[in-house]
Amino acid sequence: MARRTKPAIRKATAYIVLIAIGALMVYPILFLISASFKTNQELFGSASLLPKSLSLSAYAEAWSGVGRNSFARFLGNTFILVIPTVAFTIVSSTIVAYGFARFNFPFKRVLTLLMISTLMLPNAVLVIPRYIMFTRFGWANTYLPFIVPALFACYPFFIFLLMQFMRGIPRELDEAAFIDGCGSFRILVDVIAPLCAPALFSAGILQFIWTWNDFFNSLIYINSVSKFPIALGLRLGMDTAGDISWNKIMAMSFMSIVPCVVLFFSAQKSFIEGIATTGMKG
Amino acid sequence: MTDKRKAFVAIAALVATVGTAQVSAAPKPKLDLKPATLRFSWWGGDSRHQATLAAIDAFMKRYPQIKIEGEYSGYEGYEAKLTTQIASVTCPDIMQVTAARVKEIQAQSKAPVFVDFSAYPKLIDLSGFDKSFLGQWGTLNKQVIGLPTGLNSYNFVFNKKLCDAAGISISKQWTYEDLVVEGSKVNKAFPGEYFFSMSTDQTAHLLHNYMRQYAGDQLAKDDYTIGVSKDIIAKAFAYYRRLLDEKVLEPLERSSLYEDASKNPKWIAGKQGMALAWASTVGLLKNDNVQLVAATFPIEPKAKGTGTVINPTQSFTVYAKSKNIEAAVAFLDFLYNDEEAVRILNTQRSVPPVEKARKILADNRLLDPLVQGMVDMSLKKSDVPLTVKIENPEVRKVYFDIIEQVGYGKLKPDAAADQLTVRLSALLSDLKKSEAAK
Amino acid sequence: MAPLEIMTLADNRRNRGSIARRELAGLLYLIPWAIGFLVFQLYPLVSSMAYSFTNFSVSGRPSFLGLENYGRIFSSDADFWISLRVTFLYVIISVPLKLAFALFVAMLLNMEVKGIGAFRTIYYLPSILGGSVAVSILWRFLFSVDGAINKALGLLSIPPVSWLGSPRYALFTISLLSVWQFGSSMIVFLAGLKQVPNELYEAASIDGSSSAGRFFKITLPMITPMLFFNLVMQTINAFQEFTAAFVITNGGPMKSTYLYGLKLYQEGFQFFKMGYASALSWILFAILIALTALTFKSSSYWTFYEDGGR
Repeated sequence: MARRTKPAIRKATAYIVLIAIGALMVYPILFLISASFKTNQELFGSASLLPKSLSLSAYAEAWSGVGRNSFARFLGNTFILVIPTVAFTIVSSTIVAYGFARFNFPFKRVLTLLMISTLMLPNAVLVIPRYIMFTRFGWANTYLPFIVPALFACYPFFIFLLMQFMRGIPRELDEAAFIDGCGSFRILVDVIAPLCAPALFSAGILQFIWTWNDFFNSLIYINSVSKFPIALGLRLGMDTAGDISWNKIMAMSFMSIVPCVVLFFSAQKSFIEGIATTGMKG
Repeated sequence: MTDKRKAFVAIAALVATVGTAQVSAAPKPKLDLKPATLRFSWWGGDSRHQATLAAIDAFMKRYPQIKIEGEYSGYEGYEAKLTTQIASVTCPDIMQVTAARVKEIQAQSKAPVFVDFSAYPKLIDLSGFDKSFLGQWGTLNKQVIGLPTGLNSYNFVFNKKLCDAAGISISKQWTYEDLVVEGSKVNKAFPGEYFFSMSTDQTAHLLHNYMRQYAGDQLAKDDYTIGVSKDIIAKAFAYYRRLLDEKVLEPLERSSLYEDASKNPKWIAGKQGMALAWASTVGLLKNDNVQLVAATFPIEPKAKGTGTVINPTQSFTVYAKSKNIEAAVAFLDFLYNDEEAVRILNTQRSVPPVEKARKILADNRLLDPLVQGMVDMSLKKSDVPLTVKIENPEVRKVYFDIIEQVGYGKLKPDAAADQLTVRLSALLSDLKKSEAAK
Repeated sequence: MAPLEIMTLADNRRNRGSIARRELAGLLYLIPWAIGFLVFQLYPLVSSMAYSFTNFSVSGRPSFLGLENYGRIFSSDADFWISLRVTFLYVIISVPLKLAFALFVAMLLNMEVKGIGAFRTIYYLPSILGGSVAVSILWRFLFSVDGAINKALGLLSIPPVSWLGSPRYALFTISLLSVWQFGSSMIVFLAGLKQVPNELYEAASIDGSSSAGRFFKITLPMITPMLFFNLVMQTINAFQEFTAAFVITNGGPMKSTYLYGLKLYQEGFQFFKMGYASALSWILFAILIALTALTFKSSSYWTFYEDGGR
């Protein structure tokens, strides 16, 4: 005999827990936001969340950039960089994941391990040979080092993610479509991919945010300040070796994530809540 | 032409030549430079970017056939990017480089990485630089490969307000004993407070200064030997323990995270009496709770030298594989010697290294008196510049490790001196082997 | 279970050739990856391996050293062992905590509650912020001796702790930063949770099982593919962690946060010993391959795939 707690009590408990943990999670961010309104002196002097005066100067300075390149320009650059990368990543990763997930060819385990192994070398030692290689291709100071590898499934994280998700889809669906006369590609497009919507969304969001925030690789490959994406553009004035105003750093960091937050909030609502739970049809 | 006319023309020409020779402040005659596009990389904050871009504009106005593209950013990642560019042979034409790395980078390579400025006397006038300064920081095998961007000195900066409140006298030149005696007054007058705090890097500087005064030489020398005896090293570490034990120095659990006083809440609140500061960033220390007075490091009686540190703020270099060496060198000459450029750049990279430039700024009252004061007093008490080896990252790592262990009480001063000597000798002989192989 | 098996068994005798051909077709789908691997990944991998056998110092010409770098690492580099130990500790502390939080929160966020979108965004915010200098500075502010965390503890009459200045607590505090950014693992779990058919839950509650029972008998097994994914990926990432240690504590105090990624960066980009750094990275590679292969092998015991495979 099972005791069933009333749905209302369960919901209330859930809310309380969510709010409590949420507060802990968000406190550092609130601190960051409030820091962007404080002067250096106040910042190091007190730990309270409320700034003594709301000075928007940090935001104004961050927005105007260094005068020669506006925030709007950096934003535009970022979209040119990020959108093709994300689109290509999703398409190519889905195709390759399908191959790994649904087929049983010889050396499959070895190839899977090989695919994942490319993540196991730290970026620091790969940067120089990669840079040499891309320079030889003539891709220095462009966004191609990000976009073209995305087209060729060079992000094993997403291949592996989609592969695992696809393995959670029952084979009966494949077989049913096969009997209906679909070839493997039709099965992918009509059956598997739609069912992967949650994973596709996850992959898309993750790749979007990672590419958006990518600082180190962008710094290495892009020389012209006018081509900087936001991650670089907003950090132009961060002379951590010398004179810094911390409120500006905080303001810049906050401003650089606002588009991501807005995107995430609107996208997840439609995606996750619009998806009925998957499962066997009928 | 008639004879009379010829004579007139000749005399006029003579007068004209003599006349222009006298007017030394007139702009240099324009060079005949081929059209070129240069890449120039530097790091800094917004104000430095603005100033540098304005200087570039001024140059481009004078030489419209030269285009200079600035590749600038904050400091984060700059060193990694420069390393990648060097390794892939894709450096910009003009580079701002950490001063201590210039000679090292060139020493590692048989092929020239940086241009020898002394080979272009017609394009760049090096006479305004202090010869020994240029020699120590920018010259390798008689080639001048790096030009200091500014003069940076490391000083004690007192907070007069707190010192007065604690009864500390700062008017005379201190010895290290004074630092202990006067410094401990703060904790006695205000329990829980300390005279000053130091990061590991700052401690390294202070103790090295102490060692130099007793040893008359530096810890790591350019001939790959250790210039300070074990006894003196132990003495320095023992002094460090005294600063901690007698409550002059804030305990490391609290202060190790703050690279300098400007980030330490205690300094900001005006509760500390002194901070170690570079002239180029002393502005960060100013706030409403403190009143700044600069001084040199303490000097011991019978010291064998002052150990004063004046470093280049950074160095400018020109890439040896650049396709536009002449334009690049001419541009740097503009930045250093042209009055317009000097005024635009001001003290964005601390006090200018060229004598004439300093005079221009001083005459026009553009120099911050505190910054100028710090550099001047260090220049007056100057000592042999720091060796390249003491700034070597691996040497620093060994030195810092041991300082940390002494500071946290894990190593006693004598044992620390032993370890430092052993590890440093091993490292220096390694470096000798690897650098000889190049 | 699988009607698939019945079919293939029956067909096998008749159509062995076409089944095998069908499976091989999978290789066609791998072509984009194969091209990507050969063109973009192979050269850097081989280069860095080649560097590891030389004394490549960025500006100079490399000369061949054979296995000397590797020899030195194992025999005369005390810091290698220290950083390895610190990194293993970091992984053991941060990865399980991170996954546990991610799963817990994902389950909460999978409920149909009002305003759930806002909550999801809040929980994901730290990860959106990413690993930047600003975040690291933020962590320093919060956890310094006079920082907000200690002030909050003070309200509960707990004396201040030196979170980042003491060798005892610094690594834990750095790990907290990683745990705080559990968002991406959470998103992966969310996708996995969405895949669990509602019918199973309904059937179970009709049979009278408790919510704990439902969790352990339905949810957990069904999301093991995602759990496996997160475990492998987060472990690989954690072993390579660098930014936090670099910016917050620079490996201190007294090497208590001297992560392997930091040592590697120092050797390569500060000491200009790219050859040595490459050797270090291949040692890490070997460790990660071994761990991942082990995890793959073990997964056949605890991972459940709907497609009937292991």
